[in-house]
Amino acid sequence: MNCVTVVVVQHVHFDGLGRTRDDIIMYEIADVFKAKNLIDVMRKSHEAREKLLRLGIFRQVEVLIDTCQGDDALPNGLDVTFEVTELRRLTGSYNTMVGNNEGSMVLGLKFPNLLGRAEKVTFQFSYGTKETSYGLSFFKPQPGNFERNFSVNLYKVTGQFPWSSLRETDRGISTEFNFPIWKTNHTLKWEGVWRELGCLARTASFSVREESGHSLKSSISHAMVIDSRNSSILPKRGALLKINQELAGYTGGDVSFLKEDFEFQLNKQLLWDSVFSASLWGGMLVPIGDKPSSIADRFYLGGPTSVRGFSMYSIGPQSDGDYLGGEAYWAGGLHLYTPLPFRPGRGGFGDLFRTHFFLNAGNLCNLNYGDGPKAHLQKLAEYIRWSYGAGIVLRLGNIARLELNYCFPMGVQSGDRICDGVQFGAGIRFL
Amino acid sequence: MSLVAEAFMNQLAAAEPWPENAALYQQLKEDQILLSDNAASLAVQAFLQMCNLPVRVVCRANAEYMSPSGKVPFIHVGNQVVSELGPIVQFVKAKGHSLSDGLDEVQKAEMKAYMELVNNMLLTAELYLQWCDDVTVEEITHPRYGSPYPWPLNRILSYQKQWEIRRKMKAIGWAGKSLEQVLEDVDQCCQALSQRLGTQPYFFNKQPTELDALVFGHLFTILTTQLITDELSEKVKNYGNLTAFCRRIEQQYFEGHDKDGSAAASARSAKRSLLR
Repeated sequence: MNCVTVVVVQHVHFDGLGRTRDDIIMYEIADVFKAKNLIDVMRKSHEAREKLLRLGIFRQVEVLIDTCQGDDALPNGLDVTFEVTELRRLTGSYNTMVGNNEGSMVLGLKFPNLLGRAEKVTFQFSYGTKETSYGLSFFKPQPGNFERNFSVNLYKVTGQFPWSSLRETDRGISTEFNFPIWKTNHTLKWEGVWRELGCLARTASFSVREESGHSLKSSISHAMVIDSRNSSILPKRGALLKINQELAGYTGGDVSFLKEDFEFQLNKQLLWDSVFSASLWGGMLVPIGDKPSSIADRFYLGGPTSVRGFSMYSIGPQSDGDYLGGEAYWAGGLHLYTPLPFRPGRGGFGDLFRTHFFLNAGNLCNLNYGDGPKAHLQKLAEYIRWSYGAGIVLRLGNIARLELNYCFPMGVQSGDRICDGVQFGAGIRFL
Repeated sequence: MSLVAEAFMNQLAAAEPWPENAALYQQLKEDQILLSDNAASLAVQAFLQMCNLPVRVVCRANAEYMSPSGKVPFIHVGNQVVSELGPIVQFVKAKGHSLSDGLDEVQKAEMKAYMELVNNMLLTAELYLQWCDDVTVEEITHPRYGSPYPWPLNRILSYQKQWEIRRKMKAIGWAGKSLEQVLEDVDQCCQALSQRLGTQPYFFNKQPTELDALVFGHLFTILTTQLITDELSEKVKNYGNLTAFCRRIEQQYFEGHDKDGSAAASARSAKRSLLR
């Protein structure tokens, strides 16, 4: 038998299945039966292994290919055996976290593959010196179509926003339905949140004090993502387009608005291992009815992950030093990433670092929706804040990045708070 | 801001004169405000009228949460926000207006004692009636307290508040009291006030003080708010000099002014029975 001999996969065995149901397994390995020659069998088995692992129910999957034995064995028959180890019914984790003047302990519980078809229930509880928060989430994929899934989440989250002297506690429930269409990924979500806003300090401005209190937001949203990048942190090529819209108020609650925002990024590799990247963000919040928009729904701009050179979320409308956010914004960035000069630590640690030169610009304001779109564009085009500079970027795994930049903020308007000179930033989403 | 910086800011603010646009914040008059909050707000309005300081009343559904101490009413004067009658009296005193300057030390102590009596007896009785008497809670308090909010937030917020007030009642020993005992306490409090007032126009003879404002706020609201039964207002009506006192202050300080800020209008909006 060589690689072009026609073979037939006669049996596929599974060792180690416990609570996992047969039907979801069948979908993932169906392709293996269609293999025509040995190379094909190996390739399709490998793909099936990847598919089984992404279900999140197995700790390990091993594949064995052997010739068929037994009475009904054909001369060119093959047996493929998958040896799997299921995850335990309950996994727990316990961490302690230290954050901004607060310590907390975080307890996580996960029930993978709860009912045998890759359902998952996770529970996270965080008990801190200042706030407690928790989240319970139930996830169910469609058997045979893992990318189509639905989840229900219950959560309580608290946040402190010193740039607005605002404290926010959200208690909510959301149901989310994800499905791919061709190359795009869509999410449809309904969310009901009880929001409690309060002043963070006695000295909060009166505009922020006026927003204190309770409100109920019930909204449906749709998000579309097309991502052809090779990585989400420091990609070398590809593009990303995210469009998100949210309509609140028609399913209950007392907050009513239509919110649109988008994110676009383009990357291109140039000579000598350097990458040119361009990004554009924008959004608009249209309140429906005569109630003004809430500070918790508006957009914010500025900071090490947004327009660099300005303090965190410290651009735009403000009152007594508390930033109130805006109903419309745009922000753009141009970056040139190069390897570190003289490439120290090449092939190892040094590859995690990049130098980058950037140019950021953006604007944030409130719109008077009575004026037409031309007036809006004009308003967004005047008083543009922008900055340029250079720095070092460190990649953390595949999720986060750290930046240390030297920035020159320009176009600063009165009321903005700047951070010229050295600025440090850490996060997962950068302009 | 550090304590020293805050004290310095307060000193600076004290030097500023009373502005034209001072505002007093309370809950919505028509549908939301409860008896105890209306009484507190009226007391502050009466006090400011007695000091001749203009203030306009602004009604907001979230007034309770806007307040720095969580209690209404609060005033927004210049850059400062001050809530509750006690701190407001102090704040106004720092600006050079005071009603109790003419009193000697003994009288000042007596005034404080009577104000404590009103707060511990009358106010607590009002809270008891609103939040611990099941019929009142179901028919008046829950619908009013949650009225600005959509379902289910209206139920959640009023149950949360009820739990908080009941816990406080338990802590001060009022949870075991029956409605009759509470009304008895109100009667005793009114008796003490009536005896102190006697035939004088105000508690300290010729000039009104913050005690007069506080007593007026509570008694006028009790007399003019319609509850399930009239038992509470009957207890006050038993004392003729107290009802005359309320009418006198209403006529002197509230009639002839704008609707906003007039006691009659603000109490008229809460369901009322005639003051006769």
